[in-house]
Amino acid sequence: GVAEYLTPVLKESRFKETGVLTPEEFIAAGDHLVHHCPTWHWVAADLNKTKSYLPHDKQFLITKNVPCYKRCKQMEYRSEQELVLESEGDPDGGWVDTHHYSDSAILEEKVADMSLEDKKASSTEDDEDDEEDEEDAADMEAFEESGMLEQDDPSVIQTSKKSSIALSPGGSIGDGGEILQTRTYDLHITYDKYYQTPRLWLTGYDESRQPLTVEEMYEDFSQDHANKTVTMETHPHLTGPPMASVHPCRHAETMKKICETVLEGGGELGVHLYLIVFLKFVQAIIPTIEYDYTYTFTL
Amino acid sequence: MGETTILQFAPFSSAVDAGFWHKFTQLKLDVFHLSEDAVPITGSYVNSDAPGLPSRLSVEYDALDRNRVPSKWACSAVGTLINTNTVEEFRNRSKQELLKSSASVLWDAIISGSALEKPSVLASFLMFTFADLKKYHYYYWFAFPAFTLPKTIPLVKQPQCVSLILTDEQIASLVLACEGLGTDVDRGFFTLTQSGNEFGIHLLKDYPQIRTAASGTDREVYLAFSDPCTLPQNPGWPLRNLLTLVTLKWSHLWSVYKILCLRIRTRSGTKDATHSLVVDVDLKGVIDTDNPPDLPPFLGWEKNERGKMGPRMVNLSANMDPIRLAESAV
Repeated sequence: GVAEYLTPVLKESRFKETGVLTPEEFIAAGDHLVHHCPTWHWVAADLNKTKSYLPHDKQFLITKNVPCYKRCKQMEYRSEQELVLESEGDPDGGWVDTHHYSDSAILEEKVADMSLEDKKASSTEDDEDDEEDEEDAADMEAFEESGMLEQDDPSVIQTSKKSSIALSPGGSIGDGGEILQTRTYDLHITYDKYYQTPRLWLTGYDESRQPLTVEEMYEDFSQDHANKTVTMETHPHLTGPPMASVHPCRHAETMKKICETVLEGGGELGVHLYLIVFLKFVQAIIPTIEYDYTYTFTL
Repeated sequence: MGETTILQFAPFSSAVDAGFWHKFTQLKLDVFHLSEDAVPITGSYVNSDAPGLPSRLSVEYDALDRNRVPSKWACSAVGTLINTNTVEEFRNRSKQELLKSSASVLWDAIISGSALEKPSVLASFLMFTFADLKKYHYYYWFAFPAFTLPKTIPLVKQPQCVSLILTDEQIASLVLACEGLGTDVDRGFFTLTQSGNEFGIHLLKDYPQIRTAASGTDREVYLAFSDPCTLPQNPGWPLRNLLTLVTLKWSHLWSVYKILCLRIRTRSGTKDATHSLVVDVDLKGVIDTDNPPDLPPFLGWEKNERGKMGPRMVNLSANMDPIRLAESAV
């Protein structure tokens, strides 16, 4: 926007006082992130979208195809899931396992609830484009062909597909030798010149690799944030339709608070750790998107 | 327990970036116009996905950009885009003929040996499209050409997880050696050598001389490739054409091959390859190498989301239609 255009590029570090970043500090923090979490990569901008205050091959950061196995409402805390863990010679006994029962009956019940809801929602929602959608579905089947060699090739695996919701209790994800049907996200981190902070962007895809609509993506944002902090905006480095983005207006403030907490504890937060800390606090907004932020650091 | 004694591959799943269709629309309107000529396109795949995700062949927003810089972490796939102007043409065009033209190019590369110089052609693909630009509906059908040559590939033993064969120290050394991929040695397909705890990466085409030199020593020589598959028992699609190439070029020299299906995932900031697979195949007598066919039977069309042989459609009106965008913008 115009405001961004008129905002001068931040030259001197004001990280400690205000939690903002210079482009140089953004690059340093990005290099640190890429080094420690190699699922993140630097990429170049689209033609004509290169910002001169960033190196041309380090315009923004990207991580792709991050699984998102469940929706936020499946994560919500429910007291009936609690189990106070009995300790047997464990000094840390008495911990509460907050999601103990979540894999079993309660989850199944929720899934049942959900599918009913979904059915209801889709039948009302589709009213206006009903005609068009039906036409599409019929069309797609009419395109299907038979008698092709691919259909009985002994050397191709017949993948059984499994919905990520129907995980067996205690079963770990993806070890069953089956292809999971799950949502995935591509995440971008750009430098926001106006707010002088990193900014997170998201593109989601459904189980059959169709791009998610904004409304569908809201299911993967914590309810405190969807509709408020997540907005659709033009990507600074890519031409194309608007993309979902976590609005950066509170980032500097949050970062400053974290800095102060660390200082009070007698430590110091190096500016190179900015993006790693940023990804940790952004995780509160997108708790079910399983990107790699787990690199441990000592504050 | 119904154990298979033949190798079964996990097919690629196409993954088109939402931004690609935007770029494609611009090019269709400004450059391609009504041309239905084949256009070169670049795809990519990675061997680092989370367990259980499909073996994804991605077409990114810059897939049609001639000046695209190949990424440093993904493998390139050589693609061809053919767009039709009408839905009838899209429906009626012979899919067999379309795939045949892609398969022929690939077959020529295998027979001539140019695939040894540029192994990324082994991961080639075809993207057949029709764009209804008024509705923002995009119809597409991917094919990942492969040959039923050999028709089936006998296994010496079931695919094994690399952690059962190598020590943790050796796997760490393997990961370190593979850091060098993508510069001189193609990231997609290469030769891997192991001598105790030392690993080395070499060009795919150097496999015969390396294996010959290693005979009688304790040096192990693997055919290696970056494996997009995340399943615990099956390698991904790129191995299929690699084995066709090996069958034609080298099966008269050796019949048994050790293959490393390289998978590297990052967890908590550490690169991990313990879930890679080792596959032992026996190519003895699977074809008559002296008389290769003109063009063996080929296949590769992707199934749609219903598991049927058919195209897919993506409706981007909610993301691209200016009227709907204006409605949702507040």
